[in-house]
Amino acid sequence: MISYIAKRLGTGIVLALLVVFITFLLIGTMVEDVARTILGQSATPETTAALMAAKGWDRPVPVQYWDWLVAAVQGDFGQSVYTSLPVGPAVADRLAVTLSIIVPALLLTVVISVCLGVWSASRGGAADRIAQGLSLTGYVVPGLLLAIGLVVLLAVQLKWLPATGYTPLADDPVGWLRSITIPVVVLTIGGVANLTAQVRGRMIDELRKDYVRTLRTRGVSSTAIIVKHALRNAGSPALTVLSLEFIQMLGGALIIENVFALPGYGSYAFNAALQGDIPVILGITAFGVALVTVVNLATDLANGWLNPKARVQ
Amino acid sequence: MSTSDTAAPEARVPAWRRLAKDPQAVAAFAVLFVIFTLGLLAPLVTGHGPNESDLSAVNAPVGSPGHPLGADESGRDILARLLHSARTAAVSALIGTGVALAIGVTAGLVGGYFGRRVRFATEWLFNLVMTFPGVLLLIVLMPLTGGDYRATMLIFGVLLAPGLYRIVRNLVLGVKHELYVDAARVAGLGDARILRRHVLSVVRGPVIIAAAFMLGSSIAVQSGLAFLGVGSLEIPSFGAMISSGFRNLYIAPAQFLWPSLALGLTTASFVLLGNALRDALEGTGPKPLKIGSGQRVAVAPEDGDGEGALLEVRGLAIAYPAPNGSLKTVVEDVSLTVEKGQVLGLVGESGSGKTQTAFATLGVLPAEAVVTGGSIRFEGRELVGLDDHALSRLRGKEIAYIPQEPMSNLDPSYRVGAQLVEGVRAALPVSAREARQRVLALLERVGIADPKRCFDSYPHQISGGMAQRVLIAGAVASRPKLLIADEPTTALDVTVQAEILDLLRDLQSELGMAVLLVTHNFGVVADLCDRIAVMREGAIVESGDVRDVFREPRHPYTRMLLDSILDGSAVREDRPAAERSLT
Amino acid sequence: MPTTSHRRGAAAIASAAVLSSLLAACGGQDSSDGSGATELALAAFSGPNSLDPAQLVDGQQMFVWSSILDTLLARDYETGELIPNAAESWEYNEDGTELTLHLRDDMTFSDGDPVDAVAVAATMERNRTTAGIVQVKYGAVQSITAVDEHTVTVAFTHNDPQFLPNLALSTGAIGDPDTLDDERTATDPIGSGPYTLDTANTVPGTTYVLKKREDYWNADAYDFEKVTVRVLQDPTASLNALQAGEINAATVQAQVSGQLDQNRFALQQIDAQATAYLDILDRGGEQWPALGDVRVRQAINYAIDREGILDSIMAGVGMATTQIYSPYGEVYDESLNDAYPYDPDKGRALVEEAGYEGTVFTIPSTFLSTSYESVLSQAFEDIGLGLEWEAVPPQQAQSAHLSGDYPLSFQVTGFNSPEADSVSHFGASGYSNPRGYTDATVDALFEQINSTVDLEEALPSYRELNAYAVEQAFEAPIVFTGGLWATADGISLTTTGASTISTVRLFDVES
Repeated sequence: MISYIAKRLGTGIVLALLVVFITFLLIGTMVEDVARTILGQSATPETTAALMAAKGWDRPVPVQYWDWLVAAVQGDFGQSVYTSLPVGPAVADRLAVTLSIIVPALLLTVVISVCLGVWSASRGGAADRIAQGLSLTGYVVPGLLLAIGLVVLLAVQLKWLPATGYTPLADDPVGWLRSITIPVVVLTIGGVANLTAQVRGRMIDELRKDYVRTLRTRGVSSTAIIVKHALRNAGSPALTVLSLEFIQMLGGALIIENVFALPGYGSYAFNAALQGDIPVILGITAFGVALVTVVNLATDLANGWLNPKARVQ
Repeated sequence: MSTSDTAAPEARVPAWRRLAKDPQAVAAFAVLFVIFTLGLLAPLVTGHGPNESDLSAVNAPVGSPGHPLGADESGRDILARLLHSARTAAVSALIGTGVALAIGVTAGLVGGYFGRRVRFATEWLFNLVMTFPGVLLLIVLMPLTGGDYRATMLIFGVLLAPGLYRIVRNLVLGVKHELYVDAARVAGLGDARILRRHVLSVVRGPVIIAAAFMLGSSIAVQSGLAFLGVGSLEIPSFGAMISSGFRNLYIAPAQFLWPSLALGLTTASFVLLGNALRDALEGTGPKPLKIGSGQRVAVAPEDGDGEGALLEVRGLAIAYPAPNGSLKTVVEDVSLTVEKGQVLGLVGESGSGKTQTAFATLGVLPAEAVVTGGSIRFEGRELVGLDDHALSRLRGKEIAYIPQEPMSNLDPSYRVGAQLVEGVRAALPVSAREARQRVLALLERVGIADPKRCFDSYPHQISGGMAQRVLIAGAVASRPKLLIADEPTTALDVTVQAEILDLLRDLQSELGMAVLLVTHNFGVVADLCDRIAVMREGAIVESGDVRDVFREPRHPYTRMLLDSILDGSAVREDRPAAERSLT
Repeated sequence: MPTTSHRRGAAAIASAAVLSSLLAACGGQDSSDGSGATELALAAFSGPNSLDPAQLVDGQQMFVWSSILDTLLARDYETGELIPNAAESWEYNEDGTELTLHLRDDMTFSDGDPVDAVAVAATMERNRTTAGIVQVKYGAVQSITAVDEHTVTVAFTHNDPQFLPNLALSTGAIGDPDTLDDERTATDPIGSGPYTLDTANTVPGTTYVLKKREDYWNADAYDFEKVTVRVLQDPTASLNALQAGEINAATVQAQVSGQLDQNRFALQQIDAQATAYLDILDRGGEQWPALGDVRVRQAINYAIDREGILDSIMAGVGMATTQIYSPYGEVYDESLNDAYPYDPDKGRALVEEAGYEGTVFTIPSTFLSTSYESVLSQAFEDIGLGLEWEAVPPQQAQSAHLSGDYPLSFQVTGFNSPEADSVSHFGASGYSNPRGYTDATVDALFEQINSTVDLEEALPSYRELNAYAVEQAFEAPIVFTGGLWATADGISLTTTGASTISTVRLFDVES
């Protein structure tokens, strides 16, 4: 098991390095634009060349990559061109913000979706229509519309919650909770729409399976059949959907982060990409791939727990 | 479902016609049709161009002359922009999905059909692509795309491809060794031709469904990026309009509302359409099961006299709703009686309604089924109309069930022992410890060599024969009065069949159980049964003592069935047993 | 002078309305008790790229760095004049090749060391030799000498009229010579300015918290004990923050100002902070002969409905203009604004006369141009020309402008100084003139300007250049973009527009 995890993490690291190299190749073409952007109106061919030389951007891509790699192994991901801050800690800080929105949102999504999906799949009729209606509403109402509505009502009018900004959990837990409430609600509604449909579908499939009939003929109670058996078997595909949703949210939380001026990972990536902040783009990419690897590994391990067939030997 | 005659009979209606009858599909399709047709006809619908600005109309409210939906911050007509945005959305959807289809389906066919090495390569490549957080990558690649939404959608299509790849690859792996594909290969058809003719037809349905969802998500992603300001705002798109509306939110809230609604409706319609397509192409749109409320009944249960045979079925009729809403009867006026300790063979071909009858007795008919008439009495108690809770007092204790397909009837997520213990404890008031010992003893009794190991195994770790023994152990754990066995040997290897039959016979005599044995195999009947009932097309055509019927079958159908055995054309492996009991 | 404040790519998210307001919003804490605030919370459009003196960016980024690093000179917010700051006086030699700066003697760094000639000379020398955004401004500097403890001389290869006004900006920032080359300089330098960075409460790129230094030589001039700069790129987010009391001053879109509670917020309008103009890049007609014809350039100027754009897109906040010099300065000439009344027919006639009707130009579409694009396309169509916008991502906007691939480009640039603005717009090395087009008249005027050391004396030449540029239609100025400030807690603006340099002193507390 441990060697399996080590192997998967190792693959993840190799993948991250590869992806970063591809990114290097891709953005290698834009370094001159970036140098000009940094220099602004004082960009002349001479100053641009000087700046590129000072940053080491005039060297061949493999050389730059190697240097980056050597430094990265030692935990140094370089400095942002636009804030002069070390990339590693900056990305970690940004990830913390995004994770503190995504993780509660996903947890809520799971709880609500499972309840709604199971209720809908095992009750049918009105319950099913209500759950499906809620799920559809989540699809139709754009998250942004909802976000704005909540901000105007809860922050601007009632002043219960902050309209912008983020309070770190360690500084002030209550403030943290207040600052993530609206973003989490908005993300949750989108997630619930998607996951409820998944859970419902899987549960319906599961409840029609032969073993459910057999369990019923043994006198096992409906609740035990639904919760203990069907839900557990439905859980594994739903978990995969969930992990995909997590990966999506990593970048997709960006719109929410912008609206609420939250210093998150998505908006950091977005700004870095717009500005061509090369070290940050590389750091974001490396962390992103590493995180995705970890999430995928965690998903597979959880899947193994839920589904013995998928268990690693 | 493993038993072929349990599926609700359904007329083979073409998929599109089923789709046309689904209100959800019709509504979604209508919305999309209206939106995109209006987009296509935009120049005819509105006199304004999408970027034509009229400074006198800046932020004009809804209903202004010449601007039915108002105008935006640059004095551009909102209706015109909305309609042209629909065009952009359509182009985005087509590019994103088109690229995903081209790459995903091709690679899926190749990866699934050809050898391991090719598959390894494609697998590795697509895993790599899946590792990228999509939106993030699109943003990072902005300098390459130059912000052009078409280029962006092209890349997005590549990112969507792995999803399709997996679907197609799995389907292809599934059909690759199907007989008809092998036959085609033997017939000398080239790989390309086989892929096109045989394999593609199998993957078509799931791919169409996935494509519908991808169309929606392409539009959503394009809008999201446009909202963030990636790309030219000259290109009218829902996202760009939402972004501009968002800036003007406090000035003219309606500007935000229109594109939001249009985007929401479009993406939601694609989701609905995808769901409807799934329903239409993959058979039934699975409806939720009402767990616990018992079978649907369309007949008032008769008052019983409280006395009589162990099981007495009278005039039982079962129907399924047809696509047109009417009920189609699949079992009609079935009556049979099982006395204490007696073994009744319920015989018939696939689809004759014998399994339906067995399920009705157990109270586990599929949710769609309706009991339209008759009564089922167990020791005089009426079972028709009881819910799961009421039935649970009988099920597992007095009446037990052995299914046809052993593997699918075990929950794959739990160890064999845990499942049996759960059943025992649901049926009998025993402690966990006692239940465990009882189960171990039972496993030994049903002939499992290493009960302890079997107890701790997962279903996928044991063989089919062993699984059937496990299910038998589960069924007889509570010493039921009536055992309903539905084709208990059909799914097993020939060598195992006889052993299982022996086991059943031994247990029957040991426990003095009555058995309702559903089978299509006269050999099994001859081997085990006291009485026989022959079913055909939902009705019982003949019943009586096994010897009598075998000796002197009255109904031509029975005769035909018997003749076919004696010809030796079927179930040869059972002949020794049949001969033994006949002589 | 926020000439570069738009560069930050994040700007893409922001609306044109916010872009047009070059200054960051400011704000303060939520206090409805009516007492004067001692805290200011600013919503800036971007945080500082770096606090390293050699990498400082002017514009909104100044809010943070100018609070930490003192500048040699400053500008008077009421008159716009260059005034003493760290340097209490200065003089040029006769031909403008040597500048002598006399420093105050009561200045200290935040670590207690004196701010003296050595520090100034060390910073300047480092700026001159370090690759980066400030270096180019030292192009004419030959050497820097600390003559005595409080005197620095700067020797030039030739007179550089832009140098002195730049000393009120990044060029004049003073860093600590002991730590200049340390890593901390970029993010948390030893400061010479009125505030220190509260690193514990600062989230770089998002929130900057500044604490006042009581030992700063001019501490009395700063009203706020604490300044928070919030980076808010989205105008709606910033309005929400303002209304929710999370900041106490911000620029707002004119159209929404009615939303604000008049009892809580004071509104002040600045009419001109920057120029929005259509830059004609190929003025010589090298690649696009049509633009080499003065009639076509003039036609473009006639085609633009400046008042219409001002009233609609800008909601009246700003000024229509045909020239690029600040209306608060001395080069600006009111009468020139009559040069090109909105007259598309006349424009079309000029285009036809020149024989270029039907010519279509491609132009980069950037986050700056979005709100103007449709109007400008329309304007070109009206005079028989065409305009095709080509999307360019933010990090390539600069390159696209300079690449020579485009005949035109839409720009919004803030005012710097008459000296710098002249070079930037019309000089052979000017940013707005990447093909370096000049003619005899322009050359002669620049020669005049460059050989005159005193601005007053050079003014006639500047005015002549302005008039000539308008007549020749080297560019098509559209409007001066303004800004509408909403402030709370008794905070008010110290300027009506004469100077809009983004420092904390832009604000004070009404007594």
